[in-house]
Amino acid sequence: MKIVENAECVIQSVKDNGGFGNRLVQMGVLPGSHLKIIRVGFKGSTVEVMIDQGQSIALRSKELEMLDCKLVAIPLSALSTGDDEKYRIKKFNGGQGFLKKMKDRKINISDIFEIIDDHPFELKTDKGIIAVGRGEAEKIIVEPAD
Amino acid sequence: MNLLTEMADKNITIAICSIPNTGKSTLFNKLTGAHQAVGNWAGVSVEKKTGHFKLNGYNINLIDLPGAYSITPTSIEETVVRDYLLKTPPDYIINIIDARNMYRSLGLTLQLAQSGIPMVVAVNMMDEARRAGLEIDIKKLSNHLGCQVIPIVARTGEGVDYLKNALLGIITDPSRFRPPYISRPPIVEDAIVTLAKKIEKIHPDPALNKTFIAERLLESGDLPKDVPINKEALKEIVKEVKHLRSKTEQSLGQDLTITCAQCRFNSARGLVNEATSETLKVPDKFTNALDRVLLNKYAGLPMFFFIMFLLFQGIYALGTPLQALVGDFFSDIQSSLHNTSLLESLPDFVSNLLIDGVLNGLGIVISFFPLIAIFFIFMSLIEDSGYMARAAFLLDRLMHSLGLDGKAFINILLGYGCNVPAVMGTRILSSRHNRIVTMLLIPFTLCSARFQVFVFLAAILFAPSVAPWVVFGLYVLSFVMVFVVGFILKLFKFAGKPEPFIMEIPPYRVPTVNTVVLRAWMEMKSFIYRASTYIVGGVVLVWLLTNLPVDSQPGSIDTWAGQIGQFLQPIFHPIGIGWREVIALIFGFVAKEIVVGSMAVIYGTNTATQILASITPLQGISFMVFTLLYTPCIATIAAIKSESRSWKITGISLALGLIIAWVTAFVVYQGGLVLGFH
Repeated sequence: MKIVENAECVIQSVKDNGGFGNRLVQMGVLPGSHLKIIRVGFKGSTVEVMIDQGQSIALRSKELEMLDCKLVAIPLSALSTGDDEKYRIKKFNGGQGFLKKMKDRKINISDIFEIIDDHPFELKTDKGIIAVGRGEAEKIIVEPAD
Repeated sequence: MNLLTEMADKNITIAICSIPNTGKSTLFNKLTGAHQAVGNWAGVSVEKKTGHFKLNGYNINLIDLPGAYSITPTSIEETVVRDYLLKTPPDYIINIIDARNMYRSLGLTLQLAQSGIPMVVAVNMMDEARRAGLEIDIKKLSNHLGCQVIPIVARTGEGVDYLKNALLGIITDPSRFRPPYISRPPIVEDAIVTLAKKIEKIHPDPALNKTFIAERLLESGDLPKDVPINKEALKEIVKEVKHLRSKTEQSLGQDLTITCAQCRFNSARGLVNEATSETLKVPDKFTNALDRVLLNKYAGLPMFFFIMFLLFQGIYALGTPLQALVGDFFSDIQSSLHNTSLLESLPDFVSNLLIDGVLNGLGIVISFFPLIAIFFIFMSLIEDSGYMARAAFLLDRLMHSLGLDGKAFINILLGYGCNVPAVMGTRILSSRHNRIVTMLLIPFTLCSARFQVFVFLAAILFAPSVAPWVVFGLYVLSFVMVFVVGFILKLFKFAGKPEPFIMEIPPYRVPTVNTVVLRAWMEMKSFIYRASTYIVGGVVLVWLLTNLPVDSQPGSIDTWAGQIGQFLQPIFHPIGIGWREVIALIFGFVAKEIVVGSMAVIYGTNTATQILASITPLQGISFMVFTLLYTPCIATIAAIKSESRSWKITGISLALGLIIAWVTAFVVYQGGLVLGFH
């Protein structure tokens, strides 16, 4: 899974992988469990992850990346033009002002888009092309639309 | 005779077993008070705490098992718990559930309930759950788990009397307990039943449920050694296990251990859904808000160093003067004893041995008390509040390069104050690998005793403007050497393989005075028991070396130490250290600050001028480098021995120090000569 703050995933299957997988399983983190990255540590090597019950655990990125996971949420800012998949807007991580701004710009939850450019972001939806700033992209949480 | 057997019948062993961060130690302290003893589990450096309390005339022997997520072990701690339950099952078990997050605790609870050992479950931290508006249906929980469930708040002691009553209840009437049922895929169920039937025939211990043993076998493939079971018959069964494992794994398409965990946690999830009103998100608002500051991308590390600075100041600003005070007190006693007629009837040699050897050693032991007490008070504040996990998170990147995790950084940092409590503090680290590596690294830190030696020598040998830079350079060298040695240890895998890193970050909590003070007290007690004999023995040995044969001048070339100094001269010559300094180094083994005093003894009057006349600045630097890195003091060695429980590790530490010190001093001295210094 991509190691960025606010990314979320669901575990698909667990392999032992040098004791790591087995320990996760014995802690109750199983296939079907939901993980959310809440903090990425210095230089990205250690991450704080929230598991189902709101329990917080620290893991190493390397081991987390090797888990078989399905991405279910990621901030738009972590994506780039290379990802030629379609995405759906899932939620906005912002206050009232931000929600209003999104509404005014006709960016809505469950809109499906493709990324045309990532510097700054240009999204192609069926309503046309929308430009989104860096800061805004961090607050827009999307999921793969398949 | 009758009375005796009746008394013996009343001794009962109860084990407390739970996952980490559920308030296990707090409950243990509440139940036993200060009636505790700390030891080690046989063969491993995992702490074993036992305690006693009375319950209606029963003598309860309470065993605090290490925190374990599961008894399908993935760590040494969990292996200890599993082996203990299988080899010497306790009479009863107390299990603790975290009221705010029952799901994560219930996995272990369900495993333990299967064991057949009568159990009482305590649901701890009820106050926090109540505050968050979480309702827990205790009766439903109790019905499903098949045992009594008691809501408690271990911190305040609320409900602990009910817990004791419940214990009394199952002691007098064990039939109140029945193992719960966990639903499994039929093929796994069949395998367990088949195995259980076979075990029934060969395992005579009625305390353990055969299904429980079958599960352990099936999940791990074998049983630990010395489980009371017929070895030949077990071999047959292990073959059968292999077959059953591969059969079930083929049919289910995943590892059997994972399937079993899944079944257990599915039951746990169902139970949580039935017994609680709503699911509670654990990190409370307070924790979230505090973490936003303390784990902030930019402010996190500066905050950490600020907290460490306060900690350091707190420990050593308070501890070092107290240590000096106690030390002075003992040297006063020593000198006054020399002048009394009390020991006059004894020959001089014997009275000197008693006063300067044995009593001096005792003085050193006791002088560490204030430091250890204050150190552990601060340490448990950091640990119990939940900050330790945050610190570990912040520094994980740095320490990971040495194969350690972030917690080890704190121990190493505190080594710069005093190595002894820092080594004792390695007990909080999460695996044996981390504990051993850290305690091998701590002796390379520049502790305050070494600092005294360096200030003394630098002031004599260098101009006032240069001297501070020399001392600063030694600090830098010390830091570099910690990492160099760390990489060497990693390269040669001295301490085995690191364990996978999965660390819980618990919510912040206010530590209780009771737990913190009790911890400091227990540490001091264990320091006396475990380290004092080594320390006194070492001090006496050094005294003998520097005072024998009987008619020689103490510390002179005629003594055994002087002979050793002469004998070792060829080894020390290439690093520019003469026989006099070798004697000082032998003295320094007792405690590093003694190096200064011993130089005064060796050089006689006008120490400073004498030293200036016989040691060049470069030789002085080489001597200081050697003093920094060579074998730590006796108290540190004793701490390493008692923490690692291994002469091999202690030996490695000694040898490592001597070799590294010699090589580094050689490079410094010879390099200096080549560059034209002298």
